[in-house]
Amino acid sequence: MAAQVHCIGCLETGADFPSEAYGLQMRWSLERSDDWQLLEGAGEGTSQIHMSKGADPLCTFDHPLDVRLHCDALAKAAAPRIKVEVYQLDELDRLDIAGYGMVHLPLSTGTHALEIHCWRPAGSWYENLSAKFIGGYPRLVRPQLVVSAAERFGMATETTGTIYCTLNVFVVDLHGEVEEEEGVEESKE
Amino acid sequence: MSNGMYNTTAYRTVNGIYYLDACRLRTIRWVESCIPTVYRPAPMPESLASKSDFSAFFVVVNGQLESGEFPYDDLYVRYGFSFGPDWTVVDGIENGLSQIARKAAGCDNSVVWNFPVDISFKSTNAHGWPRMSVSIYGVDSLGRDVVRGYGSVLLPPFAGDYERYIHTYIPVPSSLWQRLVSWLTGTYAEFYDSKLVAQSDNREVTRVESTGVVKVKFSVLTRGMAALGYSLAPGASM
Repeated sequence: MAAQVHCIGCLETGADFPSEAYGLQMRWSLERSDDWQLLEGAGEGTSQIHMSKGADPLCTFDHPLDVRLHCDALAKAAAPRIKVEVYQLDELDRLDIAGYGMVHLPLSTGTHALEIHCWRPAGSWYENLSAKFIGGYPRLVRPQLVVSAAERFGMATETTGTIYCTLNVFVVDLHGEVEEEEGVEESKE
Repeated sequence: MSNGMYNTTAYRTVNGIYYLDACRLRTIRWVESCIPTVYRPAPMPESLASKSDFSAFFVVVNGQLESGEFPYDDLYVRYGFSFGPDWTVVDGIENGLSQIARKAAGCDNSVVWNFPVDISFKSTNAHGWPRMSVSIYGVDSLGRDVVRGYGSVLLPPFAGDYERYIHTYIPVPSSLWQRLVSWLTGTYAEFYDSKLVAQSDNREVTRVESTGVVKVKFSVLTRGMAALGYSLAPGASM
């Protein structure tokens, strides 16, 4: 069953990320299998850097997301995922990893308020100590691991924070929809 | 009722109960007839009335910039809309500027704008759904206009009544020296384009800090979306 999925929303805020961070930045990308075609919209983005001020644990990214996807067989395709990487800024303007997270794109029409709970690799006591002074928390060599369902046996991680986002989804069924076919051609030009 | 939409939005309570008796309705109509045309809310576009128009769908948004909570006073707000290439504004005001509102001595710590937003869009494609960007400006003690916040919100894509809280932020001066200079001169860092906050590109170079919260209310109507294949029942999955 061919279908088009509109996902319109916003990666709004982040909360409870490490308090040592002077600022936080978020990179997101839409990770999808070959079953999915990105027709319109940006499949990745980088947010502004939110500088924390005082004790407010909430940071505002206010980052829009608006994608239009096409899928030939919705029933057997794995849902696309939104992968986020949160970076923290220290007092010397260095960006360091503050969290990885992913969420499946909801494939039902409606408004979805989602929370992405983030984690990062936990270092040994020595790595944490050196990261505290000279920066450089352990990070993933291949960040694709975040969205992969492969086994993660033996990997130690720690909780960092939560990203809050709202996604509005339209699932458009393409049973002989002539109108939509035209739309596809237009967007390819 | 000649303009039913306006009346229901303006006189609907929080619980969704209508309080309209004949006497008030007469008063409203009389008041409406006195309002100059330019200040009247966006009427329902004519093409909305005919169900046979399958070539496009319509989104009608009535709402208001209700209030804001900021550590500043004497604030006004400007709004604008950003939308995709397939979208056009059918009716309504695309950019608005509110009055300068001040806090009262009472317990309410917010500035109230109560500023109406009425706009309707037409499109064939949900991509590029309109977003409203707001910029809040204040008047400082020397009478200078100072930026107090930016923020954006997506117009809700499904029909209904919504309350949205926009967390606002301002760009941070790049050095301590600049921060001092901007404080002295009253010229703080601003975004060149106030609609930057509604776009995804080129955001990574900006550094911001939080300033406050703006409360916005929307009442959304959509028409003709089902004819273009957009299922409207939230939760309907395939």
